Amino acid sequence: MEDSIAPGAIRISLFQTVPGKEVKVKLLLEEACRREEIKEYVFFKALGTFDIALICVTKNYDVSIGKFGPIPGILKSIDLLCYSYRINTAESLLNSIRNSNLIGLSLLKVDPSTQRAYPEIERTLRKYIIEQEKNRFKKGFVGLVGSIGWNEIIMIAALDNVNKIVKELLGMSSVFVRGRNLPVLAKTLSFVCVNYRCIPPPSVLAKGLKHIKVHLKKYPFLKDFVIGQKNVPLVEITAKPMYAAGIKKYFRQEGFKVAYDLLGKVDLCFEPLPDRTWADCLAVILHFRRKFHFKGFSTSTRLRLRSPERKSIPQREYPWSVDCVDFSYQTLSKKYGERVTASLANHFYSFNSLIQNPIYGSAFLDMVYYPKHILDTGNELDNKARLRLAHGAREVLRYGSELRLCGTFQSIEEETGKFSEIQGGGQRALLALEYLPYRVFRRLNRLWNGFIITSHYDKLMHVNEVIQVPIYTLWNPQSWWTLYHEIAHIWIDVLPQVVSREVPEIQEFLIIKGDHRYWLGKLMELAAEVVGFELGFFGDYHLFFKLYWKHITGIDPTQRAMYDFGDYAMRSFFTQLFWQRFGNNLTTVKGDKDFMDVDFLYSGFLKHLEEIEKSAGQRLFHGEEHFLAAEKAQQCSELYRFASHLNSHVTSHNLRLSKKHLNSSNTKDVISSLSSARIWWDKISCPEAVVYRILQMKNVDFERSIAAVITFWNQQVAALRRRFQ
Amino acid sequence: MIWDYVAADLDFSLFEPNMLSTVAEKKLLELLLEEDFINDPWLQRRLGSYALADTTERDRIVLEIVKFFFQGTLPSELFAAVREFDTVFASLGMKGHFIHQFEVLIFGWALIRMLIDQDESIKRSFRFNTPREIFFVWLMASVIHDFGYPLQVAEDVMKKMFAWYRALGMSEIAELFRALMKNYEKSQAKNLTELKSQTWAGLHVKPILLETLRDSLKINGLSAEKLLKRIEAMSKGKISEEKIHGFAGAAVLCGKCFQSWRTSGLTAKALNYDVKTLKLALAAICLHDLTNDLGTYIRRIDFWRNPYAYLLFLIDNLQDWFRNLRPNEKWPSYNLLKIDRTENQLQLSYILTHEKWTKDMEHSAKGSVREKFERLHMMARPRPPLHFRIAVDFRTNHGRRLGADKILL
Repeated sequence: MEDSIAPGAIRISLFQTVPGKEVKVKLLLEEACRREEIKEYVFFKALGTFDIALICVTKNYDVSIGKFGPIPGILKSIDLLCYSYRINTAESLLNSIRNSNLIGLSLLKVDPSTQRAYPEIERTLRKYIIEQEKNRFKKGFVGLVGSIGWNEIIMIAALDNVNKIVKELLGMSSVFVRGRNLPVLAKTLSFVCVNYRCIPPPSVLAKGLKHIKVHLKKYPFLKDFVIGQKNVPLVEITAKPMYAAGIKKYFRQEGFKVAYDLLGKVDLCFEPLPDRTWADCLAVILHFRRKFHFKGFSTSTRLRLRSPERKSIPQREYPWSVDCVDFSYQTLSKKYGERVTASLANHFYSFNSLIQNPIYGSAFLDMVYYPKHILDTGNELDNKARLRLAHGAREVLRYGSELRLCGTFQSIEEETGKFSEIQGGGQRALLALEYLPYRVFRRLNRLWNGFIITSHYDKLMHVNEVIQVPIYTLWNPQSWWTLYHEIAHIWIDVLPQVVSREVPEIQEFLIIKGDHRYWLGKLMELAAEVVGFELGFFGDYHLFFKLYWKHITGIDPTQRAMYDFGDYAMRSFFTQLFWQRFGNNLTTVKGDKDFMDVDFLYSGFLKHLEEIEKSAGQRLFHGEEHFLAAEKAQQCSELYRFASHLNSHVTSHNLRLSKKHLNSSNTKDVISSLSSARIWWDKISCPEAVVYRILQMKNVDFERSIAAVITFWNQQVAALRRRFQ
Repeated sequence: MIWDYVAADLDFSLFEPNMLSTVAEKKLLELLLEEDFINDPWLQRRLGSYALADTTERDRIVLEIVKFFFQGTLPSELFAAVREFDTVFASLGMKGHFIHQFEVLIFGWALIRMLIDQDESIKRSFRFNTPREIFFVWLMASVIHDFGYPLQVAEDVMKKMFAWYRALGMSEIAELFRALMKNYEKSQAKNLTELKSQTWAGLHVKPILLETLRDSLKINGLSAEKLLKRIEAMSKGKISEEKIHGFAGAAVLCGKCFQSWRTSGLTAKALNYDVKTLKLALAAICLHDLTNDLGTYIRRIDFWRNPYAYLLFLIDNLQDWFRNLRPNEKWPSYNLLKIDRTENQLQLSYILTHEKWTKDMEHSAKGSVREKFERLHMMARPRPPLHFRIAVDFRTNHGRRLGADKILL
């Protein structure tokens, strides 16, 4: 049960608003939820950097706050993509917190060094939290959800008692592995939220502080809790200096003492006098934000707990270090020129500063080999290709780093990654996706130096060894097969004997064609399609065809203009031809003669187009069929020698996997686990076989998808662990 | 006079045909490829390839297609010879006819298809019941309509050969061509007589021609005879400036059909259908190049009596506006850029391109367009009307409008 994923995606969306605007923003968000047909949701007033917390349950991650449209008053938002385990299903979790007046959220990041020594730590931590809940709490509960972002677990404590919540949240940070004395968590980020149903409505807020206090005092959890000596909130305010005196006066009048004027980003902090209740304190904060909405820049309420001093238990960290990117500026300058080097070096410096960060440096581990690869490559390239390499490297390094910074506590608390589509981070999903190329390249006796980045386009692409995927690929294992084509491109790029002008079979083809660069690009694509097919489809052309055209026709209509369906038909037809001639299926294309017979190919291509339209259930070629078939059949006939050459490489590099992997006990076990939405923690002997079996599964819903993501993430964490040992 | 040819500095590639943009070409071929009778993948592939092929491949593709269509009806050498003749036209600075005839075929078929889909009475006017049969008459009329050209330009070819050999100092051979030119008029007349006197199974070329002209133009036998005589008389004048290739082409087609039927051993009765096809096509071919001074006859070309003749005259003129092979200091190059079709209208947009337009050139291009419009309007609008419109407009590659017109059918 504890490793089984439950249906329903959980989103925890946090919003920082312009002071005084939170009520209006909340109303607009609520309206947007209704418009987007999000039925299960609950709003909280957050205390901390954020002002509003929206927790909702949707079918999958396709529903996003990005679709809400502009809502005036929002300064910042973070969207944490979460899932629940069967032990606390999404629905039951939401029901519980919906009924709670007060909750505490704690984002838990497992210590990477402990994870290296103790791979199942995340699983153990979950067990620990669940057991704690069973044993300790008679009223309220402590639940947990998993996240696909940087932090693995989000703990939700709903206890209707501020002191208990704060104690619980702070207590988590000191958990360690008994016996091994390993720290469990690298960092926690926690905050408390009050259910919005307890917050006064706009009409009451408008009437003034007195009315707000009366409203809040209706709730025992606010009225009965007097702020004590140990547990004192601290209200931090960032404001223009000209209003500082007025703000101080206000807080003094309302029972706060001015704690400090501060140097730095925050300007003032206030602490309530000891006899005040939580109702008083919250009423002042709400009223202040409304009254001073033009004058203050932001408020942040931090909860403090003076905990008793405990005997310190010695804990040890498994030492690990990653070397910084080391290079000589002068050497780099000789290779790329002064201007490009200045910018590239700057990117390397920034990357070094990220990787060295003791808290979130591990988020960039999967990128570590890339800068080294860029530094080692380039000498063999001509000027143009070398510059292209440097420009591409610079962009992907920046974007990849920003993507991995999202959702780390740095980016949650600060302004980093504002323009990212997944501001809550998707590090675990990124790693999961990287496992496939990592294993394929290992099978091909190569070390993959790239990483994964996302894009807003439906188009997949590679920038030297880095692979760019559409965002939805992160949580949709049934689209992971699309990586094979990009893997194939990278493989072809590093093996010029497969596709380059120097290959005699390609020279023979190019000599009859005009624009050599154009045609070489076409040959690259055809080769990548064939190699991609051979890498992951176990000779199942029909499945490849079905998925390929589902993918192409599923492209967002606005992006379709970038796609020439005829070109893609040529690619799938060439793959089919290749498979029929060189694969195991020799029934249709009997020999070389058929491959070169234009009339035979023409009929075949026409049939292929018919099959595409049948499979897509729509007309795609609009009367162009005969022209396309005539053109492509001619081209295919000229490609026989190239296909034959390609086959020699497919065979000599053992790209084609044996079908026995599909039925191995390991593959069966993994699939059986994933079919029941359970995470598989053990080794995977052939990930390509697992992905193939996932493609064959009829119902890969949200919970099965997440089980696959976490399974592959775990494999890649282990792979990285081995790589850095 | 002869020396003019030596001075000509021609810049051409041998097989430069009239080009339509690929998009326009596809639009025309689409309609043909949709036909049930174009169901052979071998043929479909060649038709599909044609739209995308470059100028160096098109003549080969057309040759394969027409051979396919006419297998068992006409000898393949006939088409091979006409294709070869395009090199001769090119040497005279003229466009070839082989590709042009094929373009007329697909352009015309697009129009015919639109017309027969529009109204059952229009379909009946084509004299056959099925689109396949209608297509075959149109195929014969369009693909063969310029087969008489070699006869028309024979004298020019000889002059050219004379000039070439003379320029190279090969005077003996040059003189041979000069001697040929002396007997040219006699030879041409003899050839015409020969062509029209061919017979098979009691059928004679000349009477058939007369019959078909009479039927198509709704004139009596005497008038038909008079028209034929007028055409024949042209051959006695200055050949290169007169048009006799329609008449000559019709005679060639008729003669070749006779020859083929003779070989097949079939009777005229058995070939009744083919004879009917031939007659309709012959009239179309014979009338398509009537000069403007025979305007009385042009005005009598009646859609309802012989739609093939009406459409061949129309399409031939729409498809081909200038005979120059390449743009020169006087003439631009032209392309049919766009074809838009609605239910009862065809909009044709032509573009005339030249690197350096001059006022004179633009003026003469406008004049030429105007002349063409006048010629197109010489034919009377079908009565009753077909309720179909062909709109044409001409622009330069700089966007300047040279003229626009509407032909109401």
